[in-house]
Amino acid sequence: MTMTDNHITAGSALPGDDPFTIAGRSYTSRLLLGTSRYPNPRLMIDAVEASGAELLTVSIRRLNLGDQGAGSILGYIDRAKYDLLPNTAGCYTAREAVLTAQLAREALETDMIKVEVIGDEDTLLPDVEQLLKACQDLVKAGFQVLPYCNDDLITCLKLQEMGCAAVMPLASPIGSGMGIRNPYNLQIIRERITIPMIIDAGIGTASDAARAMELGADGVLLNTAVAGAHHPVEMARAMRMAIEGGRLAHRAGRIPTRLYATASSPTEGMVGR
Amino acid sequence: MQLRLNGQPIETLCPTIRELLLDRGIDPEQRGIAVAVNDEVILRAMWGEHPLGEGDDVELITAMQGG
Repeated sequence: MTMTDNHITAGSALPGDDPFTIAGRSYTSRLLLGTSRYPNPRLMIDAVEASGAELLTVSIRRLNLGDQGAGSILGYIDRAKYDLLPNTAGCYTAREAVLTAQLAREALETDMIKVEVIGDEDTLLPDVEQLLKACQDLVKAGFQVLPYCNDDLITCLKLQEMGCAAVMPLASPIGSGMGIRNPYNLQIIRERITIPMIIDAGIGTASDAARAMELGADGVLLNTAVAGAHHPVEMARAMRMAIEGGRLAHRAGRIPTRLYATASSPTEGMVGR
Repeated sequence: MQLRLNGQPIETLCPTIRELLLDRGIDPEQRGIAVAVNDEVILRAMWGEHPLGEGDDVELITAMQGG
């Protein structure tokens, strides 16, 4: 199978930073952007452009037999500029997810797959048992597997052990915009695994994305926060800046928090004392 | 013969996937589509050869918006 050439410029958005490398491909941007729920395709493309993202998620769905152009996204995305990350959204079993991944690889000529196996339609939380099974099968079948998973260390360790290209723990439920509900879990996962950790799902606004990067995330995957904003293009730019800011702060090393004040001006040579 | 295409029952005489696509006005050379028959992906190179049979379940997919 011919894979898409790696046409993305290697290097980092920030001087001195390492490039963001995932599944053997290097990206300048640490933002992965979804292509769903924008008011129209023009705004989607403009938001993608403003975000700086080079890796875009897409879903795999039945071709509309009545109107073949309907719904397909490939006509809007310049594949010389962007890599596609197909997902298995909507799958409830490992078997469905594996078949969807195989169809995605055949249709899009990429071995990367975002594996989602959902366990409950109201929360869209992952079914861990089925997720692990799907990922195991897909790693064996030669895929570069990026699993959407719980913010659970043990699940992430198992996914790493079986050979996934990254782990993508949620910040909070998909589309909820609630931001990072459990920063300590994410911090522990980042400290204990060696593969990239991408925060996927739940980001609501730019500060959430900055926080994810400050916690040590290697990247952030988001969709609704941009697509559903009043001004998607401006929010896309805000996310780009937040992710760069958060990454820079992480690398700079923040000061420890203290309960009491520490004067920042000199305490010697005070007037009148 | 009767088979299912994307969940819809259809009546067809097309012996292969390639002919079925052409019959439905779908260009089999276009990029970005894939086919599974009875939950098994059929590689593009086999579309002209893989025989369709009575009761087959054919799924024809493409990439849509996704998060």
